[in-house]
Amino acid sequence: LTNTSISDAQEMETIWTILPAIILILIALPSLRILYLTDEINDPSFTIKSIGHQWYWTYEYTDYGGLIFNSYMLPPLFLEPGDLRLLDVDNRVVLPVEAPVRMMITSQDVLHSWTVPSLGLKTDAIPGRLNQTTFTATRPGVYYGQCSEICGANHSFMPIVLELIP
Amino acid sequence: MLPRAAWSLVLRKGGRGRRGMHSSEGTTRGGGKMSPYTNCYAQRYYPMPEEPFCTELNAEQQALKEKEKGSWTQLTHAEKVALYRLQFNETFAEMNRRSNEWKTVMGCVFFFIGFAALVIWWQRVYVFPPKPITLTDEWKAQQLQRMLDMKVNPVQGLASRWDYEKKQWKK
Repeated sequence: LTNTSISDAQEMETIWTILPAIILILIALPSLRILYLTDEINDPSFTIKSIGHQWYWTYEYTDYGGLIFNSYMLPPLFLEPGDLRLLDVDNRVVLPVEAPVRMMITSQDVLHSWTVPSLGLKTDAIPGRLNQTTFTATRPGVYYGQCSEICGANHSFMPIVLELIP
Repeated sequence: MLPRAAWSLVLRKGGRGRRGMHSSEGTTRGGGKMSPYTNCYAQRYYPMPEEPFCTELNAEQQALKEKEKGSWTQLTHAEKVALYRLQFNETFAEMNRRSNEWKTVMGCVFFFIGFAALVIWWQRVYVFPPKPITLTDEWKAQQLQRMLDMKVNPVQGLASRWDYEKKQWKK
């Protein structure tokens, strides 16, 4: 009942350690190259700063004048019929379509994450650090997202709404 | 249990003591080791007792043991069975017998599932706050209309399944 016939297989063990390692390296090198290629240069038209607080977002449009506003979630009692509970906000982020936009994202207090899944965006808001994400939206409409890094009691109640106008 | 086992170790009078009696009352009667240890060898995967089941043999059993030292073809079937019973507590058929434990287990499982269902119902009625207004059918219909007006996910998602000319879902 002992494993006399399945021990001491030194050659096999060497092969099935070295070969997968080589395969993984062959996968990793192009993958890393692609990872850096995705951080492309697209010369954004303008820049918006998005600052996370507990538990709301502040947006600063400072390229052409100084527009700064807070974006709080609409409490359920303030919803109009047909609004989306936990998703609609009082002040949306208004952007033009077909314009490359650079978002600079940071936080005032704790970690947050600025997310708009339908545009493929997720960037952490880290206090003391500026993170950048760029995107170009092609379709007008309203895009919703929610804070994606646990940040306290109302983490589920600080959504992000982008309104893209043609 | 523990004091009885301790006393039996103290009162042992040479050899295996009371445990060696082959009586119909069972092995754990009258002290000796605690029941898990006496029966630990009676498993299908470990049928190896440390010692014969019966060590205090009466005269008839001793004669049988002497006969066993000779040729086994001389033994009758009944004698072989008797020798087996001297050596072992149970046969394989007896030690692997089924029990009705599963009925108890399933009964308890269903009982607790039912109890949990009662608790959940009570919670729903007495504990949970009222549902938000956004979960009413009317509100959900208005939300859906708004989402279709906004043309959310028009490529593969919701708005792609709505026929805007005929104002109905695509077939």
